[in-house]
Amino acid sequence: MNDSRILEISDLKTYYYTSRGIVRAVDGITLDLKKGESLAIVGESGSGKSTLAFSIMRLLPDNARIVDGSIWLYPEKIDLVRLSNDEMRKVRGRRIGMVFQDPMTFLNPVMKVGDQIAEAIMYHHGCTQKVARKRAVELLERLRIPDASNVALRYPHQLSGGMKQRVIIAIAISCNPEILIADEPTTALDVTVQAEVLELLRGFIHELGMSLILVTHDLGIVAEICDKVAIMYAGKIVEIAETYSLYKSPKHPYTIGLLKAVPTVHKSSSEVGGIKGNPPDLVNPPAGCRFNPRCPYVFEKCLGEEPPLIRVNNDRAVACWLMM
Amino acid sequence: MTNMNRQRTAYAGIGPLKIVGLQLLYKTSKAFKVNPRFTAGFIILLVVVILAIVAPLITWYPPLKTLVGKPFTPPVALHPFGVDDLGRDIYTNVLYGIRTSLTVGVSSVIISLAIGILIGVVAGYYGGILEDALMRITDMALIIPQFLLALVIVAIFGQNFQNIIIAIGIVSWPGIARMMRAEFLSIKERPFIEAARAVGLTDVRIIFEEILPNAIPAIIPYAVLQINTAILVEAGLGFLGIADPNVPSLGLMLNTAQQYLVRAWWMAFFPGLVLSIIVIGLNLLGDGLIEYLNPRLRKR
Repeated sequence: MNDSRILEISDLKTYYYTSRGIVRAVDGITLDLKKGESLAIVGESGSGKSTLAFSIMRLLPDNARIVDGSIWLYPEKIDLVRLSNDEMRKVRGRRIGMVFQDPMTFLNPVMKVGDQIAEAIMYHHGCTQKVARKRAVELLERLRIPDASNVALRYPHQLSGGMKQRVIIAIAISCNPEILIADEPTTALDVTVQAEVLELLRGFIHELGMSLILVTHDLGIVAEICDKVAIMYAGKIVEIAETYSLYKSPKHPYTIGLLKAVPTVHKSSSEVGGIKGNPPDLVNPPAGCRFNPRCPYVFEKCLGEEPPLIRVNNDRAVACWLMM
Repeated sequence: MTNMNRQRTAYAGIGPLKIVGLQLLYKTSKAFKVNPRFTAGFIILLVVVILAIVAPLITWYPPLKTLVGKPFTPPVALHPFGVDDLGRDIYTNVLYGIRTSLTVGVSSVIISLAIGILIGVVAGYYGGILEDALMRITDMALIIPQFLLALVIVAIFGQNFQNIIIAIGIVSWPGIARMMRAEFLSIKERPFIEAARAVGLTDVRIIFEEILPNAIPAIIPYAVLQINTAILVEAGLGFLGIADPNVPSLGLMLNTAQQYLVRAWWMAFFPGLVLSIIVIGLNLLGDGLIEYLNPRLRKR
């Protein structure tokens, strides 16, 4: 099975250096991604999920640094953390593409959208502008944009949110990357457009055999397109499992709480529960298990010692003392 | 279906304009409607530029040729602006002088834009020690009086046309550098720059294809006003006698005229009038542009 592995993150630590102290946004994350697999990283705001995504791309703000760990990209097994800036630039776009959260601000306002797609193609494949533009229009067509050759000549402000998000997806997949990282790709869209964009994304991943890392806080989206889910809390993975079994029988108390908080048509409003309390301050996280102040099942061991992420069966690992 | 087609044609009406990159012109046409100052400045300058271009066609003496008329002839039909102390036709020289002014204005601004943009871009994009160093140099350049520095440069390197253009260009870059840096500082933090990095674009591409096109609109009105300053500096140098004697210059004409102010008013009046018109036109245009591009200043 090792052959089909495409990305392996081991003990990754990314810290922000702020005036308040060191924020341990990603604190020892270990992950595997197989070829063609789609993995969701789920967590609430401030759990470090976006920082993890940006760490893989090495697109962190100036005050953040990857302090430890490795990100291995297969089959050559190159460590992205130790790559020079120039080498990393060649990985970005060509081997790992990224879809951003907000289509309104992630496009250049003064450049025609077709050219924005063509720019990446030209840079990575070294083809002429004419060829790149043609490919850009083809991509837009495949993303089911009507009248694509005309849309390619428009500026971002002339397009709707859904169209812009498709342009962003087109840019991300323009160079056939092996891995696609999507950072909350549908948060800024309304629900009907969300479904369409997700459907397109799923279609492309299957068609091109890409692997997907989807960063989100929306468990509904996850159920729709992901094979595997990693739940993040306070900079750590607390549970990682196959989507179906995670939904069916969540093991970590935090996962249980999260799933309870998802409203469905079958639940009455009193059944939709939240998790009491707030996420911890990552400058000064609680000792022991980081979830202990909010955990309904907390006992002494949780306060003293941090639980490791333990594989409980074939496709599941949990970091909780209850599971030991 | 018909409705959809109609919508598409409506789009196409704006579309082609943008497609050929005539966005600015499109904006300009809108500016006319809302901004009388801009319109006035634009029309004045249009007339001035046309006059400068067709100068050989509407004059009947070669420029700077002496004794085409009796010295100190007041304005008459053959010499509409009169004749100066050396018997040169003032009308001819004023028209050719407009050419000089505009050439100096535009070329020196191109020079200062090149220097200013380069320094501003490097400082704004890369930051750090480089930025500190470049901005301190800019500050130093900024506190030296432009006019005096230009004077010294021309005095050292010789009074010819190219040197005057270069000197004026060299003294007027600091403002542009500071503006460019400020624009880059804000634009480089915008999300689409991060998106460009995620695609793997190089710094050079990000600077020239992503940031610069977004920063240029802020520079345009400033550059127009800078042309104005450059024309005034050129005229000022000419007035002090620092000019290329082989090129007609409005400033130089004013310099000669001051000795004969009482005897031959036309020698000062016409060059001065034309110079004022150019400067007023550019000022209106620049202010109009600033007002148009900054909606907060727009009067409703």
